Amino acid sequence: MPSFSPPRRDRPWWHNYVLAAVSIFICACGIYVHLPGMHLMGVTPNWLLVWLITWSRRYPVAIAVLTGVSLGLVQDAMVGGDWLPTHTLGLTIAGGVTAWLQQQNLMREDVISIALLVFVGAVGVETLLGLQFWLLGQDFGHLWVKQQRIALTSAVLSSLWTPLLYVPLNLWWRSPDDAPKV
Amino acid sequence: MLDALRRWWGRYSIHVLAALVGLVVALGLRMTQGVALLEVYQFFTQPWQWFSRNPEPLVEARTAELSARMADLESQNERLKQLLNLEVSRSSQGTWAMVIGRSGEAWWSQVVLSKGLRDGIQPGAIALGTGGLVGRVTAVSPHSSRLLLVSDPSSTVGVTLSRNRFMGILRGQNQRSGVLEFFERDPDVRVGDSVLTSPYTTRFPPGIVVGRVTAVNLDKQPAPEAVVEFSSPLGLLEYVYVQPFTAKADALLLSP
Repeated sequence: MPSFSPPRRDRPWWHNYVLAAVSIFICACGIYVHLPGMHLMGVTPNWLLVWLITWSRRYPVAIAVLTGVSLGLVQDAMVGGDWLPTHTLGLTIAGGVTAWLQQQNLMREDVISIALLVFVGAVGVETLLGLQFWLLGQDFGHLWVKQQRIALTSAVLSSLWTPLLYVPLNLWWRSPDDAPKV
Repeated sequence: MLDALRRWWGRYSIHVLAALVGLVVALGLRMTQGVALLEVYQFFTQPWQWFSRNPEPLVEARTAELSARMADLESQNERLKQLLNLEVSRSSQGTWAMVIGRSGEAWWSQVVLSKGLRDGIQPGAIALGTGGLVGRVTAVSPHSSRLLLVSDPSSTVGVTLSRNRFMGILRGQNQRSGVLEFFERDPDVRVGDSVLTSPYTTRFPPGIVVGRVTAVNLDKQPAPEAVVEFSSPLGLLEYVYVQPFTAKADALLLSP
C-alpha cells in the first residue's frame, strides 16, 4: 500500500498541472510505443484510462468528468479520423464513476482496488467503442469477436501495468485540499 | 444550497478553470488531428528510430508482390495490344520513410512515419511497402505523418482482379486480411487471384498489388464477397515508400 506524503505547502499551485501535462503527454505517446511485455496482439495498455482513474480519485465529480472529456479528445486525436467513434464517452463515465465512488467512500485506496477499477473501466471503454462501431454500420459478427479480444487484452494489460503509473503519480500529486482524503 | 455552492466554488475554482483550459487544449489537439503530439513524439523517439527489427519475411512478400505484378503486366500487355490508346502514367518521385510508431488500439490500424511536410509528404499520399500497397497518409506534421493502413476497417480501396478485371471495394478487417465486395452479381473469382488497385479508384493510382484472394463467398447478400490476404506483411512494416498522390476528382469515377 503506497504511503501518502505529508501535506507540503512548499509546492507551488501549478505543481499538479505541470506534472499532469507531462504525464498525459507520456501516456498519449504510450499508445504508439510497443515495448516488450507492454503489448499483446497489437494492444497496448490504456494509459490514459489509468491516468484518469488515478487523477479522478482526488477531485470532485464535475472536474473528473471534464478531465474525462479532455482525455477522450486527446485519445481521439491520437487516432485521427472522424469525430465518431469517440473515446470521450467511455472516459467520461470512467472518470465520473471513479470520483463518485471516492466521494461515497466506496473505494479502498490501495493499488489492487485501483487496478480492479482500471480492469472494469477498460472493458467498459472498449465495449462502448465497439458499440459505436456497430451503430456506425460495421458487421456485428466481426465486431463481436474483435471486441472480446480487444476488451479483455486491454483490461488485463492496463490493470497489470497500473502500478507503474499509479504509484509515482499518487506520491507526487497533492490533493486539491493539500491533504489526502481518507 | 447557494452557500454550499459558493464554498465549493471557492475551494475548486482554480481546478475547474484548469480543467477548462485542459479541455480547450484537448479540443485543439482533436481538431488538428493531434499533429502537435505526432511532432513531439517523432522528436523524442529520434534516438531509438534506428534500431532495426526483423527483415526475413519481407523477402518472401517481395517475391509474391513481383509475381503478382508480373501476372498483371502480362494480362495488361495483352489488352494493350488490342487497345492502342491506353494512357499510362505513374509518378515515381516519392520518399522512403521509417515506421516509428504503431497504434496500440486494435480498433484502428495506423502507423506513424518519420517524415512529414518538410520531406514533401502531403495528406492523401499513398504508401507502398515490400509486397505492395500499405495505406494512405491521413495527417501530416512538419516531421512526421500518420498512415492509415489498408487493414483498417475504415479504409476502402477500389480494386480489380488482375486476371479478368472484375471490380469491387476492399475493406480492411484485421491485420492480415480484408473483405472484397464485388460490384457485379456473379464475378468470376477464384482462390489465388491477385488483387490490384482499380483504374477507377480515386484515392490510389491504378495497378498496385494489394493482395491475393484466399476465400470466396458468392452467396453473400447484397453483393458477393471474397477474403483477400494483403500481400504486404503489415505487422512487420519498417520502411514504406511514400508517393505523392492527389485524389482524382473526375465525375465518372466511383468513390473510393
